[in-house]
Amino acid sequence: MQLVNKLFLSAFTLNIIGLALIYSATVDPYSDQAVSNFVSRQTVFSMVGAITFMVLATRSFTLTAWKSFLIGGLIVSLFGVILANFSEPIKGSSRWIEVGFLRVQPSEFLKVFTIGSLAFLISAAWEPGLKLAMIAVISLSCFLVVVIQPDLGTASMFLIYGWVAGFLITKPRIFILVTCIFVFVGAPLVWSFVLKPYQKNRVIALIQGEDPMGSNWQSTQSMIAVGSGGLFGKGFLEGTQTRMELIPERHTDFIFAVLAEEFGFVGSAIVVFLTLYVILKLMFTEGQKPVVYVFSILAGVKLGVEAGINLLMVGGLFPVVGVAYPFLSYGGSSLISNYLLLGIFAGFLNSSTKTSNPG
Amino acid sequence: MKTQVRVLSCSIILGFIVALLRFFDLQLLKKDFFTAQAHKNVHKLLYLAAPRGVIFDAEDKIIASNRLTYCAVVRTQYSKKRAVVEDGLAEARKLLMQVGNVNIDDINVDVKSLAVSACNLSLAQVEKIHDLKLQGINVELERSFVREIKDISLAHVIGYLGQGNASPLRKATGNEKVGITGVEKCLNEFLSGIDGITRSVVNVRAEAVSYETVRRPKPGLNVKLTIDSEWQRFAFEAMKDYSGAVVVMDVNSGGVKVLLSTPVFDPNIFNANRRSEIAAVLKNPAKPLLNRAVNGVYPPGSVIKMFAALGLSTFGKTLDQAHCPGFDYVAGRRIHCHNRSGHGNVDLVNAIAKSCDVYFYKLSKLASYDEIFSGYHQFGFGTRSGIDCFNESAGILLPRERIRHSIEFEKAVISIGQGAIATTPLQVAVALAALVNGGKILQPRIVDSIYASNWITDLQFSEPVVVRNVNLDQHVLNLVKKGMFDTVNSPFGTAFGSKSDQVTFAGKTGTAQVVELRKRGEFKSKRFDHHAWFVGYWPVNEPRYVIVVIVEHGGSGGKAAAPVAREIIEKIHRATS
Repeated sequence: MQLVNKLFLSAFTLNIIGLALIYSATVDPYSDQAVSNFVSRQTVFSMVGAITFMVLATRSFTLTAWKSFLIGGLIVSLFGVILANFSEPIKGSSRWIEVGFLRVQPSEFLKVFTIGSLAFLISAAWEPGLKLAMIAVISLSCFLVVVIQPDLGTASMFLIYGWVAGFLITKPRIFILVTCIFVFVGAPLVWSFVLKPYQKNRVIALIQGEDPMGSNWQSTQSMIAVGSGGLFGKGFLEGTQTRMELIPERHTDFIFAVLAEEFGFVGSAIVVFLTLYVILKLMFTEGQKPVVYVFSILAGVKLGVEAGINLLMVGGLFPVVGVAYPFLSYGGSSLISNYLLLGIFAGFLNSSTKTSNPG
Repeated sequence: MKTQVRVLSCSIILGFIVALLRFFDLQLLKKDFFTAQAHKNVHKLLYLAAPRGVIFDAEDKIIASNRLTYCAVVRTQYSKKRAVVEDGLAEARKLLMQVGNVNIDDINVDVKSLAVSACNLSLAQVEKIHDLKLQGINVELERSFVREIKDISLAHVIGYLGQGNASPLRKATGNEKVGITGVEKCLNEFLSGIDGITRSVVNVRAEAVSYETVRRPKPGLNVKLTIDSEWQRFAFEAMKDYSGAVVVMDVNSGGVKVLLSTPVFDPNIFNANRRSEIAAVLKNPAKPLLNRAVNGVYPPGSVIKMFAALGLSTFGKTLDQAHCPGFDYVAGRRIHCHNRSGHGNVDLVNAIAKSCDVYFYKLSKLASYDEIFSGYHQFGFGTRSGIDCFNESAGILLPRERIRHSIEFEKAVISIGQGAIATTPLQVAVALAALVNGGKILQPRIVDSIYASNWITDLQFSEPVVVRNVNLDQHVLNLVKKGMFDTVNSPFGTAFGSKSDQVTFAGKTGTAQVVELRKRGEFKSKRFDHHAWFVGYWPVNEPRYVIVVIVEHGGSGGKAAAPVAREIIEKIHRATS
């Protein structure tokens, strides 16, 4: 089976598992509706996402055309984020813009287009210093427009992409050394000037442990759900914690808690390995054009960081930040943008195999 | 670039491994802990009300029982906005009032526990409310018991119930009641049962889907009092129109047979938490909640005279005879006898029967203030009687160092029961019992026994508790008794109008000044009329019971209190013979 097909099928499987978990998390046995609005909406998002993937995967654009598409997408989504900053806040944050009856979160798309643009930037035949400067400009400006929404979780992703991009084009040891120095100097500054009190409380609560009704409440409830799942779980639709609305955001950021409670350690491990399979397949696509290779590394890092942070958060080892689990969590923007990510990669493969034109 | 990819992929794999190890730890090693936590989250404890113990009177008649009623709780959904919750609760309250025809007074709204509850529901109401479930409304039903007291003349003895420190659920249903006053309070730990517990599994909507009994409800212990409810009723009928108190006590056991305080209130309105009626009782200027028999503190007036004579006789201070011209000079002041034309020559018998003040002024001149004080003190005045229930008052008996004006004058005033002494009716009953039982100061008792649930007597308190023995001068005692007999049975006695042809009893009247005589002109209102006392005992030859009657602002003891006492004594006599 071709790499693209393997990737798509794995992602699609995660998507279907996600739908089942969203159903379990949001079903209301007393309602006349067979499925909740969340499930029907996520189904539509899945179809839109899958079609997006297929359309992109079957195109054979030149790399120049891809470059224009990605940089154009970067600019459009950047404007989208700025537009969102002026929207009415929902749950205290201005992350969304209303497009007709749809609510879009442009920062999710911005991630994909940033990765695409960075891939072209890294593989361009520029001075390394200039490249580093450009990487810094792009990732920092993306970070800034998103962090003021406020959405620290998503904003930090751009710093990670920038860091990975820098890492790829420099000498690894020197870069890591410089990073360590930056972290030791920067962390106290971030703590004092960037983090909001509620964010600090989450971190403190995490370090101190038990705090059932306080800042750590979500973490504690999530750990109860996960821990009570045991080896094989309580069974589909049998989860008491996640279904009793004890966990807020159980269908989005904490969807993995539903999985862990209902399908236990075995179910969790299967999904974790499936995710890891997608990530590693992406990261080890050697023998491609440099731009495609860099893009796939960045795409793997994106999915890996999101899934990893989400897992640690559900397990109570990481403060509660709004990071969705790729393909599993409810949310159209996140789901479609991840399909977009895979679609761009598949499209890249087409162009690179069909043109001998060096990028 | 290979090195970097290796570093990056290894970091990601490391992150995933850490997460998986964490899941392994939570799901396999700490599974039991988190399962228990999860259990707590979904399993709700419901309480099954246990009935309070039944209270019996001395004749084994039930005087406090329980009526089975139901409570209904309607819960609303949680919302971050308080207004939304309040709207939901208001809606639920309207529903209960319309569907269940529930009195608005019976509905409790508790925003914190998201619940509207209604108690005191009949079975018919409960059936209608239960039908709300068909409409998808979250209704919980609970049995509850309402304390029922049929005879409100026992209001102060039994007392009423109120809200205790309730757990949230109990609060929502208003079920956990504890005794606030009376026997309900002092025997609360015996009377209150242990609620049963039912564990229920709740579904997504917090409705119980299955139940499991953890503990069956255990009813409270039954209690028998020394009070005779029939006698109590007699006292109430005689005192109905007055504000005051009646105490009847067994002189040998210390058992209190009647403990009445008027005006009475209806304890059932407290037990059923009928709020508007409770508010009316609390606002009543006649203070019906005050238990005048143990908390009413009044100057004893002339009823103290027996104890003045007996008390001083223990110090060898007696007075055979005195001349009463209707007044006497004390510390340079002229003070009157209640009879301004004078009693002529009086001995102790006459001094008591005619209630001559001048005899006691003169007697007090023979003694020191400390001797008068100790004389009273040994009869229990100024200290709590130690009754096994009620938060009684100690009354007032000021020691010498707290007298600010002339000691000579105070000696005269205190010897006729005014000034530095004030007593509760119960204290007078205890002192009087000692006078007729050979000097035994008994601890008055109201609790006869507490039964275990298997009806075998658990705790019985029949042995009299003697607090102390007073050495009575037999000669003086005989004169005092003769004086008390003459008070009622001789034409010159102050209570001769209340002499009974059915039962012979002895006694003493008292008229306690509320304000000093010379100030009285300024206070024409009834509020400043004298308190009327009558204390007595019967049968005369072998006394078994003492009676103390006080009628607040009743005027003179002979006119107001003695007829009440006679009516009660006659009725008791008829009922027992």
